[in-house]
Amino acid sequence: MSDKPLIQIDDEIREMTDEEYAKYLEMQASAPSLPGASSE
Amino acid sequence: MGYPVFATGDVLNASDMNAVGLWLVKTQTVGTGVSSVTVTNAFSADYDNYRIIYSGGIGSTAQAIALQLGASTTGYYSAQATILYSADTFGYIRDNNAANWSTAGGAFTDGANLDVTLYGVQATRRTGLALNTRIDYRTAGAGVLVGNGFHNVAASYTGFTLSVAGTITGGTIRVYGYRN
Repeated sequence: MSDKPLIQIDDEIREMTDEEYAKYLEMQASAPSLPGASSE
Repeated sequence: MGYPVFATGDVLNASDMNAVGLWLVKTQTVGTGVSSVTVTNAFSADYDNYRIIYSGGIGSTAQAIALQLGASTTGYYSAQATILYSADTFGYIRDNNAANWSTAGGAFTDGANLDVTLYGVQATRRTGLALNTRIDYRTAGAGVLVGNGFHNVAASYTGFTLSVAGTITGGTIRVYGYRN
């Protein structure tokens, strides 16, 4: 079971490396909530 | 002025083909359960301006799709105004010298999508962004009234990355060049 999220680079899909995961966390650090209440 | 209509076997005239305004330059299928998708070799000096459309996929949950140019993690500015489908409630999302354009698209369990135009992305100057649309598939969601921004770094890029907090599955990312 993967410990880290999957990254896709063009057609290659694999688990993120530690460095990629760190960059991914930085990218998502300021992710806002979408406006509107969730109805899903 | 009319437009050419081609039939099977027709000779393709240079004058007609050189008038084609939008050209599909890159197609990328999105895999299953990915949190980040990088598309390389999407932009070149062939075109000043590009349109990126992602459609046909789904998200693990309602989440924003962030857009990053190349490896640049700073200098992203944007503003978008929204209004709920269900009430006269306005909202906004801003990126103020952020690490990416945080809400260039949206992923939902009923559909994931992104539709943006990039101005000057392959030139060594600041890139402009127009958020053409971001469709919210929730009945209590919101529509985007207007959105745009820019990347405050004078640099040329050849690729981009979409990322989400959860995962996205399926669909296709298409990159089109607007003919100069």
